[in-house]
Amino acid sequence: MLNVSFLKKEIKESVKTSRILILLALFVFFAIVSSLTARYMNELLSLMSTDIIITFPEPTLTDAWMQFFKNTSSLCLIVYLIMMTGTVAQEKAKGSIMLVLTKRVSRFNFLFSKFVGGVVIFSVCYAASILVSGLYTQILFSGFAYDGLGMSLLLFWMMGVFFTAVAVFASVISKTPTTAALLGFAAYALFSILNTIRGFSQYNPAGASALVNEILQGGSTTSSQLICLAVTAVAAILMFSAGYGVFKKQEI
Amino acid sequence: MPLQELLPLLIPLIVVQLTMQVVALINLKHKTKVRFGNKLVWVLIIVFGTMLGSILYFILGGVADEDGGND
Amino acid sequence: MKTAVTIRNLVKTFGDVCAVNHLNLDVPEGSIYGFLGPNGSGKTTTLKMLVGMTEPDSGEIELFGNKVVYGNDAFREDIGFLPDVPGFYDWMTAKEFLQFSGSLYHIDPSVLQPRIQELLTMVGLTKSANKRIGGFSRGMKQRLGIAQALVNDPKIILLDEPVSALDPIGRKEVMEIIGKLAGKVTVFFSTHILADVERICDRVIIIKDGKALLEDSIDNIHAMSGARNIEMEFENGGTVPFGAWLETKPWVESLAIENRRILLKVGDLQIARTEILQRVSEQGLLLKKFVIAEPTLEDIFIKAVNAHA
Repeated sequence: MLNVSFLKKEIKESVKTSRILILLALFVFFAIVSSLTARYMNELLSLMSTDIIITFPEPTLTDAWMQFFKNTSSLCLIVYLIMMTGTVAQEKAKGSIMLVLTKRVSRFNFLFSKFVGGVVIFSVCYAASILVSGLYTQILFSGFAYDGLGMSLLLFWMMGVFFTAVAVFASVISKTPTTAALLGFAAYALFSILNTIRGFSQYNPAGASALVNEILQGGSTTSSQLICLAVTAVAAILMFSAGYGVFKKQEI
Repeated sequence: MPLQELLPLLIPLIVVQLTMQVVALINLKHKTKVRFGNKLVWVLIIVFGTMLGSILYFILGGVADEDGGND
Repeated sequence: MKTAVTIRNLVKTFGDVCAVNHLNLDVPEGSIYGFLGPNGSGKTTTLKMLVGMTEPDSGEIELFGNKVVYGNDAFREDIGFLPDVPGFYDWMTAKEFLQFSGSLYHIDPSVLQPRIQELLTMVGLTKSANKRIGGFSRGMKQRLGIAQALVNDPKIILLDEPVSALDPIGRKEVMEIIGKLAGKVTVFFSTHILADVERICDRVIIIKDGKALLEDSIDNIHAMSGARNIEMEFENGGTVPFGAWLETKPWVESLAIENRRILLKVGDLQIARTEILQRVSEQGLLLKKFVIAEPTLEDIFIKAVNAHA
């Protein structure tokens, strides 16, 4: 029996404190910027360097999605991650956690609601940015779909879920929101560095950001995509369980 | 660059960015104290830093203590 | 009499510091029980163990005959808790917070709605019910804190320093609310201010460094701390002969003269007061100051320690 009251509070809080509005604006902004830069990059470059004539291949819709994944996996995801790392640490710092946990809310319920709330917020922002990116790509390139787009989007979403679990974990083990944010950022940096290892990205929970590029260039197999999906899902579960393991015994 | 063709595509971008800046400024106004520097510094960062300035404010200036109350 | 809370040999250490040291206490059901001690004496730690937020090193806690097991939430229906600094969600209104609190107990809305109205009236927040908590004063937050502790109609409420951060008016309001709860629900509250306890408590325990110094009814404690301090000062001299006269009196326990001030401790305040004032008027002395100092927490401590020694 999961009490949804606390989850409802999480969602409502993100609306009332305009956290979700900030993230929505951010995700949508970069969805637009991605398509626009992909389409007009050549013009921009030639404007800047008038003396040299450089010829680039005509941009295609895959360039738009490449930009989209690049921007979403960097700035958007980092901002989401950092905001999310405050989730438990802030309740501890403020003392609200005492009011909630001394009522009929189990620690699992508390932490799981935090996690699900984060996934919901991420999904909403992500869905909005996909829609906007699709729309702009359609307008600028008269088409938006390519082979493997669905899989790329799914891989990306799973990575978002994984980083939500990372944020929850960082938030549990930190005493203050600031340390939690630093920890979250450090984890992001670490997983990104792992992506530079050739051929490792399919076993990296954050491998999606490298894998989507391989898909775009047609150099990726279905099996490696599925492995990455499974690895990311399992890593998310493990990460959350580790966070819960600490939280269950934590004296508040 | 065909500006007339581009304009309808740019308007949403500007709207989103302005929304973000306004939200950031309102948030700043209600805040009794900010992290890193003072309020004026943050106003300048938000106004001239456009989207990135606003994001910087929300991450560093402190959405973190948004619920900090008036104590 | 039934007991609401039983604590036996409770121990909690943080590193080298022993926060709670073999504490024993019994809170009778229906009483207002004061948990008194200076800052850092282990009050908050004890309360946190009572509400299951901190795990005791050893010892037992029972609430209404049920053992409190760390990590088990079964006892939560019976208790309401107000931490020393209640952290509310500032974006919620008072009413929303009570609704949220109630929903965490799965209380049916048909029961919850009238109860929220009742609680808001009781703590005097009906006018502010739909205002954001972010704009509340400390006193209002503390009153809302009491309301949220009562939302599940608990058998006992545990309040950690409910008035220590408040100004005198806020303090009076909150103490009156707690006083009103007498007989309806068991109240267990901690404080470091003796006056709070004297006004409304039935029983009190005094702890220091995690150890109980004294546990008794308020009446007994009053009787025990019968000695009162008197401070007096004259406008027109005559301090020394007056002091000499005082020394002949049997009700004087100790006497000190500092410049023109006389500090004395008396056994029977009633007789002392009458005789002193009589003497003053006979001698034609002009009183500049005559103060009866209430015993401080420290005085009672000293008494308690001496009584145990």
